Amino acid sequence: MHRPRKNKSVLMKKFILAASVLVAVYSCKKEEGAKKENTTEASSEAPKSNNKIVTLSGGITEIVSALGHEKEIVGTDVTSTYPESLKATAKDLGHVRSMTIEPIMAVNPTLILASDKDINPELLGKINSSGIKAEVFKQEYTVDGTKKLIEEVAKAIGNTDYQKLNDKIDADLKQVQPIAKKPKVLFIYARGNMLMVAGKNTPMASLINLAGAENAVTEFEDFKPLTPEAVVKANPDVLFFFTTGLQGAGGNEGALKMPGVSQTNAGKNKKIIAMDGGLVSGFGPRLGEAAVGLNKLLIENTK
Amino acid sequence: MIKAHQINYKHKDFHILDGVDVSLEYGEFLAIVGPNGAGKSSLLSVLADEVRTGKQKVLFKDKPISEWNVKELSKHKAKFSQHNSNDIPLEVKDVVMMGRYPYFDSQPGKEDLEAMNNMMYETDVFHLKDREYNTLSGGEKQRVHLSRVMAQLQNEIAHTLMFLDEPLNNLDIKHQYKALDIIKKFTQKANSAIVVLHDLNLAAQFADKILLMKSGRVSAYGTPQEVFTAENISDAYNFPCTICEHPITNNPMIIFG
Amino acid sequence: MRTQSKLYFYLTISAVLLVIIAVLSLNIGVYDFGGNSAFKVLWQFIKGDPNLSLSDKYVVWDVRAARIIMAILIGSMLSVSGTSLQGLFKNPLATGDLIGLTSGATLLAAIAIVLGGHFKEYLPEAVQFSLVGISAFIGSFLSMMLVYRISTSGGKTNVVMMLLTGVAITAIGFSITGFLIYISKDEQLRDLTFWNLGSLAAATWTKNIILGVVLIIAYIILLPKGKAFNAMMLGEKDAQHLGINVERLKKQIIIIVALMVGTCVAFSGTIGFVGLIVPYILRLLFKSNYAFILPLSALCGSILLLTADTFSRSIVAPSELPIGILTALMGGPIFIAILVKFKKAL
Repeated sequence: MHRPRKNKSVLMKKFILAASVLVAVYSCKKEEGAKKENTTEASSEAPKSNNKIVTLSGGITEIVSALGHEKEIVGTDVTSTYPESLKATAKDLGHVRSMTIEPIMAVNPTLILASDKDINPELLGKINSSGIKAEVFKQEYTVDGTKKLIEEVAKAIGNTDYQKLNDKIDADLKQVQPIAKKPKVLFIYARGNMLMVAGKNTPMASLINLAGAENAVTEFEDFKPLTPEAVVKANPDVLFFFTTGLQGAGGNEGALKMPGVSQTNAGKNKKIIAMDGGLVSGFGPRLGEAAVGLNKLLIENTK
Repeated sequence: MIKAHQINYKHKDFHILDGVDVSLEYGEFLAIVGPNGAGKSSLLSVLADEVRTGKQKVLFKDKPISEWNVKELSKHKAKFSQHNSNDIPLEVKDVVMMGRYPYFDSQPGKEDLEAMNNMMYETDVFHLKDREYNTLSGGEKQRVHLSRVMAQLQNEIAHTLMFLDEPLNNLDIKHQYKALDIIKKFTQKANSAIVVLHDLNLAAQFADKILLMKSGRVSAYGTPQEVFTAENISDAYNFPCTICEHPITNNPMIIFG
Repeated sequence: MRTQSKLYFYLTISAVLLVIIAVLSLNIGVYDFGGNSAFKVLWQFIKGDPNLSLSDKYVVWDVRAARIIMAILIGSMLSVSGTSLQGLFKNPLATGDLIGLTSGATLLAAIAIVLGGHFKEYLPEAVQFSLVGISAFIGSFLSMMLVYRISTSGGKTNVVMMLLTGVAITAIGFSITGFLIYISKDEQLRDLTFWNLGSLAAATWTKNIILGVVLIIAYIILLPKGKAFNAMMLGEKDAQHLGINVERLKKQIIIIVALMVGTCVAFSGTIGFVGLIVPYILRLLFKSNYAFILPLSALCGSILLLTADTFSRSIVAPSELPIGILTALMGGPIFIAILVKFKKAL
């Protein structure tokens, strides 16, 4: 009767020993790996100044790059897809909702720039207590809001040469053509099986207005799950997607199959457009470009 | 040692116990007998302070039992229950050691180990002490609990009381006699025992006093000679019986039929 | 004599193991201390070395060390809660998450956050946390009372009722909490993932202090009760005959477990299965002798959660796997193992 018990406890001890050895080996490997990464990074890029900036929002990343400090960016969030050259020089730190502080600190930033939208408040707390200079910007999705953001970000990185960015936005916006029949545009966010529509007070609604059209949704704010009644009631003339979203949903055919779409003008006339996600939601220096791009697509699709 | 006067225990409108008087002296072995449903276990529960009937008080050593400190009380009285848990994932010796819980805080002392071992010998379960309780037979489990209850009262206190509710269930004849022997020896040291028994002959042989119950009332009370008459028994059990004298011990011998 | 020294022996082994894992965990993470090991940096911090870079100090102390301590405290309390509940309900499936305590705690914590959002600026951090913690405690206490009333009668537990009540409470909690999150723009409410799968990423020393205080209060009362839990296995009436004040014990267990579960949920969200896994493994070694498994579960719970958390932040670095996934991964098979054992006993 004694033996089975003894075996079990010996087994337990062996298991515990093995487990701790595994963990030890694992952690040593991790450290080695981390060290290797740092050394290769140092040899491939010699930054212009000693600034190391982490930008945690697509728009902010674009502003910093446009102001000429792209090489100083060492880390971005997952939505910072433009400029593409950042992939080689900056580390993707993930989504601000689930990011933790350590990967940010691992790139040794001297400045952290973040937007108040979506960011995890715990992460914000940790950033603030980290001792690293950090600025959190309130992002307003209007032309003036964007210009203000550009000014504030520029000040944060010590650059006074931001006027030309604002001017460019104005210049681009002037190229927006009025559209004869103001179309109703419905933006659909498609990810996997999840479909959401953009109501008032979203970046997309703002952009749609700038492009000379109307947001098809007028009853609610923010993003809400797509329902067939809402779609039919809104009766958009054009459906608007992110390029990646439309692709993932099965292209134009997939879009036409979405609930309620077949009863709408857009569905009947097969008017579906898509633009790059970063361009549409960044609301940075390319705001004017985005508006013009959308404007052109709308003109084409309302002839 | 223990006195209870006019105990009434009702469940809705049904009298489980109706006007029962019990009184027990030091050194007495009282057997409670009667047909099923007579209220024997309920009476034992009331006396052992497992249930409170409200108005009537049970006096233990001249003090209302409800006023005793729980821990102190456990050194003066112990109870063997009729239905013991079938699932105790422990070793036998751990179960018996529970009887000594009133006596140590975290670590059993020498007296505790001694009491435990002695009682396991007495009930013939010492050879099972390292076995898992759940693997024992019904009778073996019964004896384990018996030794636990007895270990609980192995102490220096002058007069202790043991309640036993049908302790002989599942035991073979040898162990039945052994158990009753131990209880008898216990009472001969100025301790008392109240035992619910089914076997009238064993009650007649071992008990000092008998309490015969029927339908929640005391049907007869006294020595075995006084209580075990053909009249009393056939009335209580609603079954004919004959009394004769036990050839060896001269105790009353009850034969049914 | 033998049993006590055996207990001390195992406690010592577990404590040593915990320290080893803590040190290893300290050295794991994406941040590079410029060639030094994290442990060395921590040592420098403790000695008050002025040459220590602020970032190094911050990562080692406020990020890693704080998180490790939180994993130890919460792992310990979740594990002891499970063991205690199993002693109360006399069933190895009774754990805070399975009987709905964590859902109840989550619900009231979410309500507290929504209401407290209006006063956020006026209260110091410690008070804010305490209010959420207290609400979570009330939530888990109410759930506990509900489960207890419905599933026990005369001291016997109907296991099926116990678990089903847990399912019901979890369903209600999930829907109301989900609704609150859906309609609320309050970022403090975080998202459902935090509440359902838990996270130790938000560890701070303030939270650790609160957790520590709760732990000390709870353990002073509960840990010496191993004997009493054993006696409860005989049944409540027989336990009372052995000198255990059963009613008082039950009240203590209910309140203290609700307090522990509530506080843990308030700070880390729902981390399930810890209270199931640790007592189960300990029972394989010590059977149901609570004199052993109660104190040991305090240490082994820490070991379990710390190990799981270390994996969660290193397997998919720099991202993190929600810790609830890892504990569920371990807990699921154990749940099935217990059920199979039950089936055999039937």
